[in-house]
Amino acid sequence: MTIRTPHTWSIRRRVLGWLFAGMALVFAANLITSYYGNREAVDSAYDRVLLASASAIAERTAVREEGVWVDIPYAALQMLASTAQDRVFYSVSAPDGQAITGYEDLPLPPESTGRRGAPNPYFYDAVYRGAQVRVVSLRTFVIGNNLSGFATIRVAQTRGEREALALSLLNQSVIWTLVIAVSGGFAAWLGISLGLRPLDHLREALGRRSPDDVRPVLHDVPKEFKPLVGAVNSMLMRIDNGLNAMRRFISDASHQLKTPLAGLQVQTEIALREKDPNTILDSLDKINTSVRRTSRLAKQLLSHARAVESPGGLGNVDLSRITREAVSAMTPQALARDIDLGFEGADSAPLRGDATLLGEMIMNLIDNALRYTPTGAVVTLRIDQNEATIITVDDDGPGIPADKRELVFERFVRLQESETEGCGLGLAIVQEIAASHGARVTLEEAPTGGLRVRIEFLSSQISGPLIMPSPQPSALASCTAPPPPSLESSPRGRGS
Amino acid sequence: MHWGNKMRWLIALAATVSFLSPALAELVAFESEVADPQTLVIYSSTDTERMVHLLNAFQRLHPNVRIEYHLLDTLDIYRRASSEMDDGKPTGDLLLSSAMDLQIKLVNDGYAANHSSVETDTLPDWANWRNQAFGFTYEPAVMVYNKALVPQLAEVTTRFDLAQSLTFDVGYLRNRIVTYDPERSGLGYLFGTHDAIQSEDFWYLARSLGDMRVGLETSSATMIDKVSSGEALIAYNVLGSYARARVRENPDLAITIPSDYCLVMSRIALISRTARNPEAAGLFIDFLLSREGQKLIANAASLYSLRDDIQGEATAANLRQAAQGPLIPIRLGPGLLVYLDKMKRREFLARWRRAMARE
Repeated sequence: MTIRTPHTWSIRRRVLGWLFAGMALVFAANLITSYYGNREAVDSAYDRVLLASASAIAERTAVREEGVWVDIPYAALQMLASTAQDRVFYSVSAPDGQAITGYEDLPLPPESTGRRGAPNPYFYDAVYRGAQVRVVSLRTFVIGNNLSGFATIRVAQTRGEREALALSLLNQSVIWTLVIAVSGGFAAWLGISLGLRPLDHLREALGRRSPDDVRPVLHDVPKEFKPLVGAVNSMLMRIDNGLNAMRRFISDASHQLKTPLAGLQVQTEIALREKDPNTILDSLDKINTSVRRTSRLAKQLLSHARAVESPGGLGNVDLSRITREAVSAMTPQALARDIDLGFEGADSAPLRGDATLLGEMIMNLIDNALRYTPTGAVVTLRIDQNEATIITVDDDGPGIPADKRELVFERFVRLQESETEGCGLGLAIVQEIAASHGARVTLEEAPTGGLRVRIEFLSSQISGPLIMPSPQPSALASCTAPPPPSLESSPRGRGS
Repeated sequence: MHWGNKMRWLIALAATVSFLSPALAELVAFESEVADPQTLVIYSSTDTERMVHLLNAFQRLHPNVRIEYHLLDTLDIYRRASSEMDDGKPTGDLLLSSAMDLQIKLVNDGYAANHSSVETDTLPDWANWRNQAFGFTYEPAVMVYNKALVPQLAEVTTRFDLAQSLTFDVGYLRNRIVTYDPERSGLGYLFGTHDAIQSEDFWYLARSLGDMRVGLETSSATMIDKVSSGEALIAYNVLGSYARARVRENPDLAITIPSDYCLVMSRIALISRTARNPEAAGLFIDFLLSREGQKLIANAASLYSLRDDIQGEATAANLRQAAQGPLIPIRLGPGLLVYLDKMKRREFLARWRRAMARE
């Protein structure tokens, strides 16, 4: 089942994309902070050596007869010999600021230090002789010969090794970050592949199915795919229902139409053998009646099939108006049988539903009442709308015994004692349409003693989609074909 | 002199030749036979005679290089190179000097350019600083004595022995011992200060030398001359490279490698920051450090090769074999700046003068 959509994408690629985007952000932030953290740590480590050098010089700083005296120890500068072989500068100045020895132009601290309150030792960055340098300024107290105060020793070192170490630490972080990213990506790729494997099984299982196999999918799938499989299953169920309905319609239709067509054939053959024009005319009249009956049967089969299928246009309808229209449409037939067909009740009964189906339902109700009540009967339709909308059809005919009432909803069921023609689809259609509107159909005894068909729309406003009834098992055996046309006893002038 | 026919003496110029100033100023050009050669300017403190084989061999490898070889005093190399670079004037592309401290100061003060190659990578740590200063020789500071006149000086192998002899073998070395003058000779100052770093015994020796009215000279050659003529009996802290050649000529002379420890100095090559031909300078450094260059240093130049994989007379390997005690090479690094400190220098020289002024 491959459906090519114009925009295809891969879960794996999308998940990995988001994963890497997220990781990239986290890692970039991590690298930036770790670089500055490293720099600080590296600085504080090397600053200690710088301070040791300055302290070694400070120890050899004193006041002699000729003034401040300093003897730079060999180790003071040699200890700064590092692997990156940084350049080294130093200077010593007397308490009065007079440079004594070393690089006299070595930069001073950025702000006024050497004053009281400045940190001692004081570390700072500067540029000297075209290079970035780290400087320590150390003040040391000297006294002697009427001279006392703080001599300042400054030792500077180019940043080469510090930068090299900070960079190598950063490189290590970068390498580890890449290792983590790659293994994370690999793990995610593997995880997604394993996670999607049940879908592959599902696809294979569905692929193996025959085209008409619409059983629900019962495979074990990950939690995330349960809703999808549920939706697929419910779709399969609907397809199954549709298929069943279609099969039933086809078998019903062929079954139901076979008999009247056979009758027609017999009648035509009889008519063809006749010589007497009057008899031929009479035969034609009978054929006409049979054709009309067959046509009605076909119509009913179609409307039943339509009711079973998904209703089409769902809208706001007025049940009262639909009923009035149906009553007036059926009035000629009622008059033909001298039946008093009447409507009472609300002027309007708003409802959500399918106008065509509801019309069909009411026509079938009236048709049913007219068909099974004797001449001169009274048929009354009534609509009440309170919380629920209720439509009742009362007649004063023979009624249906309580124990048979459920039976008449089956398709093609006609009660044996019934003498009238019909195929037994009427109430089945009513039932299907009512159910698809969420309404309930009950058969009761009318106050006049006849049959009352009561349809209750459970809420006055049906909201949401129409509910499809589950199809009933076919009950073909009970369907009786319309009585075979007999030339003698067929009543005339009765249409349906 | 017969130094190969393609080399000609061009100028032998002495700006000021006086008896008081031994400062050299000599320029020799080694012409190229190529039509449009590039010029490599070398400021060097090593005698032209010792370098000529190296220069000729280099030109055989790189015939398109014309070499201007300026023979200068070590202090002149330092002063000229730094002031020429400060003033933006053309200067030597390559500076070769035996004043290790001054060369290190040039590097530390930012006057040197980077250079690295397969050859520089083979150098030991102590002989390469910042890939800017490269040691290319391995020259011991030794004692030379006249064994014809005083064979018993063979027994004197340490500084302590020498001081004892000066103190107790009363008189015979009076006025007949010579050493470098640290006040007038950069190399003498370098050896003296590093002796002082090694041991306090040095000051005992210095006082003894002062007692015996040591003769203070400015070059190894002069000291060896004096020992050779018998004017002096022993010379302390003479460059082994110079002594070696002279001992070969004069069987009366003998060399003692001090067995307490032996300082080893190294001539330093560096490329000027503003060199106009740094490529050729780099090629020359690589040549000095190559097997072929080191072989010439060990043999023809007799300057003691630094590399370990060289066969020959004046090699580090031979020296190690001959030495009874440790060889202590003077490390390239910021430590060398210490004794350039003016107060430190003043202090050291004051102490030296006090030692000399005894009696």
